[in-house]
Amino acid sequence: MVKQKPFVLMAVGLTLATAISLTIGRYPIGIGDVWAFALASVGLHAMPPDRYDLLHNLIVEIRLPRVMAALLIGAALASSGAAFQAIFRNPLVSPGVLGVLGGASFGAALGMLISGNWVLVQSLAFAMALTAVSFGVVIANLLGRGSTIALVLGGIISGALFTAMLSIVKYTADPYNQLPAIVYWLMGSLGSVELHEVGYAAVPILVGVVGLTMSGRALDALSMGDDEARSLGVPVTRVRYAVIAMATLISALSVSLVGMIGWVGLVVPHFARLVVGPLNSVLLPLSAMIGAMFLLFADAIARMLTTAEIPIGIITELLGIPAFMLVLHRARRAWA
Amino acid sequence: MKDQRMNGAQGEAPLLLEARDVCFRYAGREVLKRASLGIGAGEIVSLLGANGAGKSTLLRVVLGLAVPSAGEVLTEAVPLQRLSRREIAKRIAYVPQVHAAPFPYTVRDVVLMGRLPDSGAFRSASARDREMVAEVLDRIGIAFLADRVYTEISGGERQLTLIARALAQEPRVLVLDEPMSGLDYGYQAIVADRLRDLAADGRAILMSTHDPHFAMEISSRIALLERGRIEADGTPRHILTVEAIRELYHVDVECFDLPNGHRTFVRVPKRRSRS
Repeated sequence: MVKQKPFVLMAVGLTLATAISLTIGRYPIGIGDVWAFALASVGLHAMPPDRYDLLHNLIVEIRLPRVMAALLIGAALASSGAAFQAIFRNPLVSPGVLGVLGGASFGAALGMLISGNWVLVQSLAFAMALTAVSFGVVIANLLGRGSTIALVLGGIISGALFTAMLSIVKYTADPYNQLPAIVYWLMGSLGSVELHEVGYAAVPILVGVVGLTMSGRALDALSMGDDEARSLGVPVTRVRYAVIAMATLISALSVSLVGMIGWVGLVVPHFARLVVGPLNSVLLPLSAMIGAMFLLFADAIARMLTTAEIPIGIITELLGIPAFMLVLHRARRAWA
Repeated sequence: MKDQRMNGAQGEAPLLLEARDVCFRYAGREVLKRASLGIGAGEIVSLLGANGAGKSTLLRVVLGLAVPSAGEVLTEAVPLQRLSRREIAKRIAYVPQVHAAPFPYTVRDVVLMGRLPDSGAFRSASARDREMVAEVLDRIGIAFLADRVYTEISGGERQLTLIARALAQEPRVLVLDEPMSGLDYGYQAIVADRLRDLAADGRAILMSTHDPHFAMEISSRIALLERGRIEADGTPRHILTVEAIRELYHVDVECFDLPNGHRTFVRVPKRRSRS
């Protein structure tokens, strides 16, 4: 009954796109080289050692981390965006709705102010993203017992607070070294991700996407309204906070790894909804796959367009706007 | 078979839904004051009352969505508080007022949500669930709408969809919030017929309504709710009198008995003071 065709197509497409994007870069290699290297690395193909080392350096050490990061982060942002849209019953919500981006930017900037240590920057970004969302949720509970509208308001307040604190950090930052670093981070970049970081982030992100997908039917009911979901036997408060926790965790991980990458979490779920409809148990995994593809594509453009790499956040915005307009044009009849 | 059920309802069989001296406070105000109401198998009970009388609150309380500050709600002699959300959902189904969904679910998707209590929210729908949905759609007479988008069909079709979803829960009790509001005359008749069928199968139906005519036509009993109190509870002919309508809505009516045993009301226009 479940539509399998889009998933099969996306799986094939993602595999191909991953292989192709490993060939893209300053030192040109062909897709045959990637294939030969893959065979050689599992011992099925003989290759001269110096050639093997060159390809290993290019593919595994330079290109694979960012390709894996693009796949994982695209999946994380798109599926958390779709989950937030269901929780808030609003197709215009993005992962930033509860203040996760504001918190992460403040944390990252603070880290750069204290020291340039990359681990500190990432840890602070992650910690502040979670702090900002928790703060928003606490406000929501003080305001209106955690209703949807109270959560939106709590997110706005929390986001504004952390954005203000970001401004303070920017103001105090050294304008020759620290400030440009902060601004650059805010634009998002996959360039400085390392393979072991991707490895750490992969497990929680994949678990998160699977967890969100398993909550799909509960999310469908939840999007019809709290009372209706409860009368259908769904433990509304528990599901809502569990989903918020999972979606926040994976989006905070993404942002702390690569900085701000906008539009993926907003546009991709709409696109996926056009393809498979609104049922979250199908929509969430497909959003993850389309998000992965989208970011892989954006990263390829970021690398290819000019010799100096363009921050990927700028690319996703430039690509996201026309895509969003197109999708809204196609989807508008559903809102009447 | 049917007669046995009817006798059972009036005899010693436990009531399918019973509110016992339910009180509910909200923001310091007493919204429900010792409200008691019982509904047996095969009964359709209409709840009539002015805006703000506490109808919606009483419905939320009997659905287990609001916890009474005193008193209790029982289904088949089991207090709701002893049941989990899911167990309540298998016994009591809620048909909300017609609304718009934020996402373009199909009618089939919406009705399939009614299978959630049975399978649990974290399991996927089984083939049996899908079969049941098809049966229910057929039974309510909206199989032709199955693949239409819920946000694109008429109010009457949405109301039937929500009733079908409630039925997919296989409940013994249906609670409906103003099932007739916003429906055209034809759909009002269809909904009334479906509700009568569902009651005849041994379910208990409780609904709130603003329409005394509809209440008269369909109900086996009518309860009048005024400022949080059940002021009267009995057969339609007994309850719906000229005095009751004046008391409830502050409207003067004339009452006519119809040959079918029902009663109709015609509003007496107020004389203008200046003319």
